[in-house]
Amino acid sequence: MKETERISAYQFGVLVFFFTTGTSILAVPAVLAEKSGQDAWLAAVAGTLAGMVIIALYGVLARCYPGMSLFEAMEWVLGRWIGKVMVAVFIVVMMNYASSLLYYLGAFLQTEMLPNTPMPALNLLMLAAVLLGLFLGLETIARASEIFIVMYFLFLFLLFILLLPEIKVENIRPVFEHGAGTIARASFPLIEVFALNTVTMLVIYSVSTNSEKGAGRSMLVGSAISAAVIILLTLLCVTVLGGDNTAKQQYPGYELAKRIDIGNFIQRIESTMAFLWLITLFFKTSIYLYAATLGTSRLFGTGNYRTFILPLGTMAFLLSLTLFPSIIEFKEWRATVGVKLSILSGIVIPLLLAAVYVIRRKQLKRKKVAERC
Amino acid sequence: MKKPLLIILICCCFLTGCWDKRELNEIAITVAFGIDKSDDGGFRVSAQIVVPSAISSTKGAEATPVLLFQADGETAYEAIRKMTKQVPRKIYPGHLKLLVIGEEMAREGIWDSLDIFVRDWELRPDFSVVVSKDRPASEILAVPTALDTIPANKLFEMLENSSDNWSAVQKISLHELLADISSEGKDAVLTGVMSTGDPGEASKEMMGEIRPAVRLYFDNLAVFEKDRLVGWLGAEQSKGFNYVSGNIKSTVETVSCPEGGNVAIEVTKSDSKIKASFNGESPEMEITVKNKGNVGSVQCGLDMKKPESLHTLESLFEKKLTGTIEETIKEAQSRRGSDIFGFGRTIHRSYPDKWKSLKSEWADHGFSDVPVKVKVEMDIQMTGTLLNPL
Repeated sequence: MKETERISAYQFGVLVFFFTTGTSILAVPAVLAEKSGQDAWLAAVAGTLAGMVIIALYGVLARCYPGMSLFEAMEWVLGRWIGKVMVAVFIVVMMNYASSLLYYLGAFLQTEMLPNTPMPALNLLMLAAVLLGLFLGLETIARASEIFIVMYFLFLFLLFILLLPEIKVENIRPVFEHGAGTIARASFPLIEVFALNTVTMLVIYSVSTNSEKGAGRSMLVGSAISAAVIILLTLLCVTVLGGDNTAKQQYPGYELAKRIDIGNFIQRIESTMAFLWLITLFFKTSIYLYAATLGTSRLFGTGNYRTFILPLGTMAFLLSLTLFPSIIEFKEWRATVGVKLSILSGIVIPLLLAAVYVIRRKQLKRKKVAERC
Repeated sequence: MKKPLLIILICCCFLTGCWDKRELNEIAITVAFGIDKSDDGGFRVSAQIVVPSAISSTKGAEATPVLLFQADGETAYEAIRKMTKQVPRKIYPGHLKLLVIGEEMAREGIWDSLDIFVRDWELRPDFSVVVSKDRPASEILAVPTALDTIPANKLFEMLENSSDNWSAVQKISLHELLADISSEGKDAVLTGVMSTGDPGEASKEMMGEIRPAVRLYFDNLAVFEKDRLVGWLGAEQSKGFNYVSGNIKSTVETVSCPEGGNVAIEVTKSDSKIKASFNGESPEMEITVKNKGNVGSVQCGLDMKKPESLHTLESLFEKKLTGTIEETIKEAQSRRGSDIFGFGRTIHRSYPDKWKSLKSEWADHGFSDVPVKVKVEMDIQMTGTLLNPL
């Protein structure tokens, strides 16, 4: 059975924006600066450019199977059994990401704001909002994103403006000191979170959007705007905090907001930065969990994904508490397991889909015509 | 049937209270920390804590406005937590204004003391850091002050005021200090804090006097190599340093007239530029300081109606400042490893390739061997409300 929910191309674009910005706003500048110091912003440019190419390729892939979600396409292209295995693999990846984001949120709130609040309570608060959103459906989530994007840019704009006096342009010199090789290597983690994970958006690419052509454009525009935001933020981190310092911080984006001080009057407003991050995190987690529940309902051939929201939500909650014993191990997980999962879901599976599609193209077209009759 | 149960369950989630709530009467607002070496080689942390009832406007200065607590520990963090043995409330450092590091501690390195102040989530890295010269930080923090009854606030404002109007000291916040210590080719300086008289004799009764015997003041700049204090710049040289690093907001310089007597020149604007160039493989630095100013007071027979007089004053000023700056640089270069002007950083930024080969020897002899050219320009514009002296 098909999902009957429909979101507009604009809403899809907003979701893509939130999804691709994701965790970048707080942590990514540090990851980039770790290897490339004051050239981190160049790494951001390189990473987002490469990411845009990958996202464009996802768009091409999505056009191969019009009207189908990624899961349906897997079964359609790869056959029922291999397809179902791939769907299962995808669900596992999505669940891992969803729970890692929940942990990340809990860890951030605990280190920067609420040290005495137990992490389960923090994770549960976010999860409750996510699950409520899922129960209400993708349309509701998309409409919420339309409202939040306005606030999001308002706060982001404020942050940029208020930080202008703190900028020290000389901090970016010497430009291009680390050479192309190092910068490219530094940009890999960004490509991963910015582009490879965006394969998840294919789940709602065609099944839930009104016009597929519009969705393709939305995907590019949404990720381009997000690329601009990431580059600007990294540039701010480098010019305000300095390259070495950015690399040392856990949450350089948050540190950035702590620096705001206009006439001893407008200061101590870093919570707004956390608010920006909470919004993107909410949508990213929602989409991961939505994809996981949709895939599960597909796997078991039941029509209603809502049946699986609570069981999978509970699982994500428990995973977020048990998967990572400490923040260092979480970072380690991201750099090892997380990367492999991203490559699996963002490169291997799409490539497999594309390759088999090319080989079986004629056969598939006949099959589709036959199904339509 | 199910709905009421669900609502009750959901309510349970939100009605349990806040884990992290802290009421104002549960926290001890800490405005200044002092760090010294303890007798057994660990950290001795002193915390200046505000007594809220004493500074409320209704009660006046009956009780002492602040209290000083002290604890020893192997780490600064341990010492701060140990204070709860004496303080009924939990130390809350969110409004910290000042961190005073004892000279003895600073000579051994400040990295270890600073870590907690960066790592702790409650602290914001915008408070000022100073070094207490010759005395432990705890003695400095024990001196009561008038005008602003909270000594940390008073010191903070004094520092701000002095760096704006006299510019021999510098207000350095924690994040600026960290940037200096951790960046390549630039070493840190910190302002010194001192006291007249013996702080041990300071008492609250002293506040009744118009001229208290024990007073705190800022002077001199502590020079660091990496994170270790290695020496002090005197008052004049501190000013020279601030000219070079472009920290002068406003100050006064006195120059002697050719026929005896003095003229005070108010500097209203000062910009500095440090440029690196290469003569073959060896680097050269060029410092250009551009100033604007007014005539502040005239105590000699110079005819102020003539434009030439202003030019004379300008060249006198330029000569004097060039001398001061050159002396400062000589002094700094005599301590090999402390590149407080950031010459290394300047080279790194402009010539990243050449810096790679210079880097390893920079602290050893690179910095002390580099020739420095100093150029000072002065532009005097106004003479105040008088033309010729009275």
